[in-house]
Amino acid sequence: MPFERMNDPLPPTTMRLKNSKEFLPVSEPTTTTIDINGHACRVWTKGSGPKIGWLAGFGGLPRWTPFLDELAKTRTVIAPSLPGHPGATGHNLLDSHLDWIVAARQVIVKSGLEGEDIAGSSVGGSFVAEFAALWPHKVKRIAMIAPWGLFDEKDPATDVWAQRPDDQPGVLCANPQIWQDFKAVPPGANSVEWPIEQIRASEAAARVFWPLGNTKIEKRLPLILAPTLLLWGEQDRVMPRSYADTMAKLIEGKTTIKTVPGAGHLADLDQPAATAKAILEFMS
Amino acid sequence: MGNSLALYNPPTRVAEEFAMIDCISGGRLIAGFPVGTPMDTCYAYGTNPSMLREKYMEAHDLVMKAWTEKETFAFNGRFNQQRYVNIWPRPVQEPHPPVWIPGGGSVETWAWCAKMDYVYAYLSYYGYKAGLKTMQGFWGEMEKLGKDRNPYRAGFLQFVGVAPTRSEAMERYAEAAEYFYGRCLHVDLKYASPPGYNTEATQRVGLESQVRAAAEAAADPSKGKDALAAQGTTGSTTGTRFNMVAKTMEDIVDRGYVIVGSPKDVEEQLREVAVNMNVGHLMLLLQYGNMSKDLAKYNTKMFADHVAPKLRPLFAEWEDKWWPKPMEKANRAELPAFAPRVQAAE
Repeated sequence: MPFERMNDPLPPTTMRLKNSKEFLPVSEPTTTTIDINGHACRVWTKGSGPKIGWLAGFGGLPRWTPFLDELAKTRTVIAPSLPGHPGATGHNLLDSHLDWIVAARQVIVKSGLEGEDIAGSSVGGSFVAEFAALWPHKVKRIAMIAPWGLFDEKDPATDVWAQRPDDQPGVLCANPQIWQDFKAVPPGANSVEWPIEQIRASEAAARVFWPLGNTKIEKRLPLILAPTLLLWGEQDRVMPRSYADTMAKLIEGKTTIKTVPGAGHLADLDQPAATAKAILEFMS
Repeated sequence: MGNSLALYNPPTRVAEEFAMIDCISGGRLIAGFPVGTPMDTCYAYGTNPSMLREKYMEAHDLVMKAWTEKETFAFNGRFNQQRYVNIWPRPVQEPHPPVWIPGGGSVETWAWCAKMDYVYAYLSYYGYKAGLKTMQGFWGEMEKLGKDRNPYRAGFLQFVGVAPTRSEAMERYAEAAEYFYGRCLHVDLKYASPPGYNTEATQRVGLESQVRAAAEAAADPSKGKDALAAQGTTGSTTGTRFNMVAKTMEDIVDRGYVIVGSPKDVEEQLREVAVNMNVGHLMLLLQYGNMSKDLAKYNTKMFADHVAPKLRPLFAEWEDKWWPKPMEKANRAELPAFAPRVQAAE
């Protein structure tokens, strides 16, 4: 029963930053769904121009973001939800990393992103890398913000699942308020089901990456042939900056590393304009 | 004995270890199958919280089949695949040792215990006053599922301290009780809730009660405050509870975490606990915190000599189908004449 317990359909809720009107949306995305293993996964689409895919970071996309609006100014943004992330269920059918990679491939293909530019952040970034490694001729260019998949005990990644509730926003974003706004229950939403959906997103990430975030992605990075942009928030408190260098050395395609000033792990949330600009310039 | 089923690979290890204990004890094992706490299962052992319960259920099925199936079989599970399951030794008790499921109050666990005909053991650590509501919930669920009220379906953990008088008991057991409640239950909040550890149904129940408490607080601040405070005391994790826990002996006893007193005091209170909660299996902790060996022995002997005999006839009208069935005396091995520990000590 894939739809059991899911929220009543709500219009996409755009993040409204306190004291900022700069990134208010001009319009809402359209919502469609794709079927992954019998479960509906939401796909948000907005903008016009060449397609760009977006696989969101830790926590998924509970609402549309200013960053995606920036991309949508010149591109058709297609943002599918991975299983278990907001707008999608079915994570608990996926028992192995292979199951997840196959599901992520279905998500990418069914949302019409095969052969297109694809970007992703943290959790989503890891699947962008896997897709580009295993189906190297099915992507154009890829951009990844602090993707997961490596673990170096000399420079360990932070355990995002072992944070006190008050500390978690500051671990994920340079500006903790941004994460709090991103995850806050929107007016009219179900105040019981909404938080469950947010925990489910964390669980879905845990199902793939528990306990260390280590999927041994280093074995597959050399298979990536696409031109690659690695973006890192200058204040990323989750993924060490050294991982960018490790990844860049292993990826076969031409790889560029850029840091985003004033951004934490989820750079697209902290610095929407700068992050979008870096990706759009790379993919122009 | 309890063994967190999902932590072992393969789970047939649990089947064999438990069977060995059943053999050594001549059929006195009660097999406890806890899910395990978040800290030990997910953080220390690294088990994926999102798969913990699925692995637990599969491991349970495998262990039960390994105990009861006489022929070697292949197990083709989601998480465990074994071509030849062929455990050694096998348990003495037939068809298998009684199974008790320690739980924290989730409806799903109650329903599962009812379905499987297992004992539900509520390990509250916060005594009978905090546990009453949970046990009432358990019996309500049993009634809904058409199960009888046999008190032996349930177990309840209770701390006890016995001495000749109440004041002496308060004095003797204060240090150990304050040590336990002041130190031993502390888990940092950051390790309290690995995502997926609590099922969505359990999360939903918790969130709905929070919403209700908040609504009550809005409608009637004095009443609502109590509802919110009660949530903290009986919260779903050790981490959330710790700050609300009583830490002085007076409070500890007042809230019922530890039952102390003369044999008569303890007997009366435990009788009340057992009857009010309809619990046939009291799992008593007579050693806790930093209690010395001598005091633990004293407490145990006081309880065994002066309290237990008075409580035994309680619930005589019910059959305890969940108690171990040891081997006939004639079938037990004779104790060896050679006692290596005694010799070594000499």
